[in-house]
Parts: sequence; C-alpha cells; structure tokens
Amino acid sequence: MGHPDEGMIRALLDEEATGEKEDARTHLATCPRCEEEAAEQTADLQVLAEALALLDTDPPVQAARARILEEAQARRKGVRMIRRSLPRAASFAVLITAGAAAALPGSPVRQWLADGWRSLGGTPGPVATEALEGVGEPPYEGTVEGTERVGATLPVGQGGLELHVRDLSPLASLTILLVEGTRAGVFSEEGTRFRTEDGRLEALGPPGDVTLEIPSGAGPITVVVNGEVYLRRTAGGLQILGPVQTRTPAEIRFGPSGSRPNPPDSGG
Amino acid sequence: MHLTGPGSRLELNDVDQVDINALFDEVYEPLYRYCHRLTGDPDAADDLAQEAFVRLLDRGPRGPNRGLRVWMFRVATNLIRDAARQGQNRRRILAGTPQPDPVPSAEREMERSEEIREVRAALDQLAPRDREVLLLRQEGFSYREIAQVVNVAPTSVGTLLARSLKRFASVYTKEKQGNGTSG
Repeated sequence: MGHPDEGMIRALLDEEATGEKEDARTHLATCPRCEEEAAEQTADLQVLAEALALLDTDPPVQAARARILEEAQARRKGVRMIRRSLPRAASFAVLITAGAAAALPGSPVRQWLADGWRSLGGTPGPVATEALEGVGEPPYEGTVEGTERVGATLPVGQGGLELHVRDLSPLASLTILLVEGTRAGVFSEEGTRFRTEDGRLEALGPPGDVTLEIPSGAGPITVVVNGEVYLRRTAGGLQILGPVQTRTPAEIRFGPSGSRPNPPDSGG
Repeated sequence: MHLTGPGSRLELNDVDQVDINALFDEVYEPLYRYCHRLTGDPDAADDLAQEAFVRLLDRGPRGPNRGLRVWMFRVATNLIRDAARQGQNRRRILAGTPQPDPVPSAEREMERSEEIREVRAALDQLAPRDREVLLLRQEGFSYREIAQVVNVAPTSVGTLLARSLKRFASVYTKEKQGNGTSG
C-alpha cells in the first residue's frame, strides 16, 4: 500500500483506525517517512498537553455541586427557584434569548450574559436570598453580579394554583404578566422568602415591587395579596378584584396595596 | 477517561436513571476544564458547565443509548459557539484572562501570564472546530464521541486532529519564540 495519510497515522496512534488498519500499521512500522510523521505527531501531542495544562485552574467544585444538586432536588418537587437580572424591563429580552434555563439559580450562563446585563444598565452587587426554615425549597444562596430579582415558579396543575403574596409593603406595586407555558411564578427583590406546597406558592415579605407570572393556557389561578383576592381565573373567565392601576392584554398592574381598590371587574 | 466505555463507574445513558451526584463527579471537572480551555474565562467555564447540567435536568436525553457526557459537552460547545457568533464575550474568548498565580511573586506571575498568553494566542489561531476536537481528545473522547459533539463524520476526526495538532504546535512554537502574529 501507499503511505497512509496523516489522519490515518493519527488514528493508528490513537488506536482508532478502522478499515485497512493492519496494512497501515505494518507500513508504519517499516516506512521511515511515515515513522517520522508519527514521531512528529507524538511530539506535537506532548506539546499540546503541556501547553493546555498551563491554562488549567481549580474548578469551584463544591459550589457548583451544591447548586446543581439543589436544581435537581427542586425539579423533583416541580419547583424552580429563580434569580433574574432585571435592571429594567428590556432585560427580559436577554433572558428570553438565552432560554429559560439561563434564569435559574446558579445560573448557568448568568455570568456568560453578564456583559449583556450590564449593558442594559444593571448595577453589579452581591445578592443573597433566604429561605423559610423547614418549608418549601431553599432558594439558591450566593452572590452574583447584576441587579437581580429572585423568585420561584411552580407548574399549574389541573387542580389550579393559589399565588399568595404576604406582607407586601403598602407602597409597593404588583404586576401580573400573562406568559406562555404552564408555570406560574412570583418574583421580587432579594430578601423575599418563598414557600410552596401542593397547589400553592407563597412569597413572604417582599422588600419591593412584585411581579407574578401567570401562564395563559394553564388551569385555575387565584392571586391573593395580603389576604385579599386580587385576581381569580377560572374556566368561566377572569375576575379582577384588586386595585388596578393599568391594564393591557398581557399585563395588569396593581397600585400600592394601600390604595383604594377599584370596583370588581370581570373580563377575559 | 472514557466514561461510557470499559471502566466507567456510570452507565451514562439515561438522565432518569442517573444519580446526579455521581454524574457530577464524573463530568463536571472535565467539562469545566474543557470550557475553561476554550473560553479562557474561569467564571464562564463554571457557568457553562452548570448550564449543561441544568439543561440536562430540564431536557436531557431520555431512553437507551443516549450518552449523557457527550450530550453535555455538545451543549457546552454549542453555547460557546453561539456566544462567539453573537460577539458576546468575544474579548474573553479570543484573549482569555490571565489567571492569578498562587505564588505571590511578581516575576513569576508575569512569566505565567506570558505563558498563558502564548497558549491562548496559539489556540486562537485555530478554527473553532479544530480547537474543539483537540480539547475533546485531550479529555479522552473517542473519535465517535468527538464526531457527535462537533457534528462531523467520525472518519474525518483523525485528519482534523492531525492537522489541528500540527497547526497548534507550529503557531505555539512561533508564539514562544516571540514571532507570533497575535497577542
């Protein structure tokens, strides 16, 4: 046979050759030219290995393991604890572009997108969340760059879901967004605590404004703020009972909880 | 180390069947190393490795004969390609970030920074796919697995490796001699 090409020699050295490998191996052992090519490749591989080793740093194994195991545990219960960098509304586009997973705790891709977030006006700073003891899922704890919101989402089952916001500041506003998918969520600033149980998702003591996400195609949903029903969606339609400030087809913004509620309004 | 081959402690075939803790032990460090070598950014590498796990949890391959490790490396590779394509973090990818030296010696630190710069400059002169195949092979991937990650024919992997290896050695040597064209 003729001289095997460089790829065949590489494959022989890697024990990955197929086809006429025995012929090629025999040739390699007897042909000075091919033997030299093999020796060069072996030397080049050594150069590569030594060079790459110069780049390596110790990975943050413990922190990464904690976050990933937390993610896995949360998924088994159907809950996702979420942190979002939301310096302003435009950053939604970044998150959507990056895919929903980019918004997850520990965020994979969060740092990767950090430049984009900062370019949207975010203010870097440490963020941490806290969890209620013994209930629900522990939110991710750690620090990340960017102005972030924390939150939790839960799938809306056949039996429906109650979203409760407790101890909302009288000065804070609450916004409900209609979103695609089947998960409802509640988001606010760091320091908010979350609690979940079957058919119920609670946000406790949000320090600032709150955003709720309600999936457009899922089952019944009731939104309760400081003990008052703000919104109820059933198969029969949508009842809006809270103090509506503005409303569009995709968004309902409620004024501060201390404001005077509007008369009950019904709509689709 | 071939995780899906003989000697593997895990049958990395089905995300529903896998202990995530054990999967982490097997995959995280090689995946982090791969991402770090590709991007030059330790934070990005950590994020990318975690993102691969998160995506695995969300929509990883189900059913038999689905190599999870290959799937995760493919996810990370595509994320890096996408980011490079979009121009995000381009500076990070192309230039990398010199790593701090654990030895607090200014001279040693400068020396190490220069060594890292030379390696990164050489890697940056390779086509993205060439970098990927080299780094995947360094992580012990078989030709078939490399082909799956970078989406090429398995029969072309040997040639890709040989040529990219030669190219790397050549430009790296020039960088070390101070004759590099980048940096």
